[in-house]
Amino acid sequence: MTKILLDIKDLIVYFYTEEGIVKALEDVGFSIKKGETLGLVGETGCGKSTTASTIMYLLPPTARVLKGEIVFKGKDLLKLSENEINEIRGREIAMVYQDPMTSLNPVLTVEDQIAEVLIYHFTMAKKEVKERAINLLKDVDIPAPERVIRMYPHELSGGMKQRVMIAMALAGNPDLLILDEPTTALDVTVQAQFLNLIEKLQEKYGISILWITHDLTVIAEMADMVVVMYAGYVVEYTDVTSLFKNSLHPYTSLLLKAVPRIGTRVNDLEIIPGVVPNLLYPPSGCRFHPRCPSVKSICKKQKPPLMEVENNHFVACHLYNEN
Amino acid sequence: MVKSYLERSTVQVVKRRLLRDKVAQIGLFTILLIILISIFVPFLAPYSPVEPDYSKTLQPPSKNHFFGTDEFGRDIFSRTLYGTRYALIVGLGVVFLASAIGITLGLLAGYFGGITDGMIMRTVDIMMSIPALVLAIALAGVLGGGLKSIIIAIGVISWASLARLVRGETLSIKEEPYIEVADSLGISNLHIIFKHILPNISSSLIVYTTLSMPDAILTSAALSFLGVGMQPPTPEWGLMVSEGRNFLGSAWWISTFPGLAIMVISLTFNIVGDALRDALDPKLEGKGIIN
Repeated sequence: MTKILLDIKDLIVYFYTEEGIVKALEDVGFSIKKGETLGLVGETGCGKSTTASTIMYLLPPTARVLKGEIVFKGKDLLKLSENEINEIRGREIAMVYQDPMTSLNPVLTVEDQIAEVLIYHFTMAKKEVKERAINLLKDVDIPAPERVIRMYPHELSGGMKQRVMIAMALAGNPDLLILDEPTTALDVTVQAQFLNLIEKLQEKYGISILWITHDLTVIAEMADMVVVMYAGYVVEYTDVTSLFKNSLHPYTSLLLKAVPRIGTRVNDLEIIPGVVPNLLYPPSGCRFHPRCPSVKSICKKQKPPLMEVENNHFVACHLYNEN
Repeated sequence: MVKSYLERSTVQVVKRRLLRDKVAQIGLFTILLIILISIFVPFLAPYSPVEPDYSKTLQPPSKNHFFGTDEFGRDIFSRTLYGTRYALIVGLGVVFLASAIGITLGLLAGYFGGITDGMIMRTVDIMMSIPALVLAIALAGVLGGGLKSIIIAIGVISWASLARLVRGETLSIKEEPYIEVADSLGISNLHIIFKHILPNISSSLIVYTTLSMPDAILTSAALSFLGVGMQPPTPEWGLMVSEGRNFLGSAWWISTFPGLAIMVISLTFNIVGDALRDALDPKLEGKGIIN
């Protein structure tokens, strides 16, 4: 059995906003093994990005972590000081953000931005920094890296910026890479290249990946394990094959049916009725019950626990709760 | 190697816009002239600025004395030329001091927010509520006149509005995604502030500092005029205007020419500042100068 790199347990994060308390994450838990890719799926506002921000400890000032542990290489990240966490950010855990267009500083060259990470985390001679930066750009398949390195972000295309972002994230040689909806801003052909690139890099660097997305096709392609989140809860947690062959939670099943497939007519596409609940006033019991096709009376009263229904297949649903 | 496109574009766009603007050209040329005069003034001035010549007191402008002479027979033209040095030194010194304080505090207040922001901005509010000139007079008086104390006095009264400007700009840049990216890569706060935020607000700073030069020069002239700035026999314009005050009826030239010099230098920096603001405005991209 491979070593567990990141282990998140019972994470509860609330936002104390002016309108009230937003219960963003409730009892979120999962773990990532070394070299593994874990896909985190869910609709907008279900807590995917909050989970990532909590791991990086880059939550907005209104957020509070009420409970939970984020154990990374044996250390609880939530107990580290600002300086200690700064040594982990970029060096051991790096994140690639959703929008490559605005994620690079417009007044600094590509070299400045990659070199900064290198200089910050390693002691390196200037010449070495430049060499390493060029090598990183080569690794992310950027043509003519010696030329690109002197460019400013606005001279690069969206796909190129995305690659530069990844080069920056890889600069610290991290063990865990968090990709926050990395393919959303890319068109389909670039997306395919991007997935190949990530696969190649994962092999070369041996990194683990936390892949946040709402795109199930990307998950099917890239992930080893999948966590499905709904309204701040983990509703299903299993390996990718079981999820696609034998999804147990009604939400996951509906989500899978909502993916368009070649061969089906567009108006046949199924939708999940209703909307994602407002987490200021979450529904009682199971947060999915207002939209659930197989709702029972207990669902309105009691929150279902996450249970291992089959081998390594965790589901939080009263359908599988014998008692 | 191909020159970077942005380097080419921003710098060249600004340059092109400035060159298309006739008034800006005149302004830039005048600034160059003022700088050259202040450097080479010992070779340019026909007479000593301080040595009295009692055989030639209170002479009107003539071929020998372009701007006439004062009650000690000193050549006003030479004194006015020497005055550019003081004006430039005070202007640059004040801008430097006010920037050092104002930019740093503004960046810290905007970036860290909370208590830091509160303390810095309340200090700014207090500074803004005190009449600036009165405070400068008091400070210059306490510090005892001379170039250094003028610079300190005016620097202290002018950092506050700069801090306010920088804070505002920092607040908006701070929310940009690339700042969070830098944060997520473990870059320290100070590094983010000075390497990521400062370059992004530099164009407004260039405009602001250029436009605050004439303010500093005018205030220093006012301090000298009021007797708490430079001391006689320094050829400082404000002081010269003050000295000629008693002779305005009989020898108008003593006060008039240094007064005109103050006007020219202030006007020049204002024109260039305005032109820079237009030239650096990204919203004018491709539209040329509106005039």
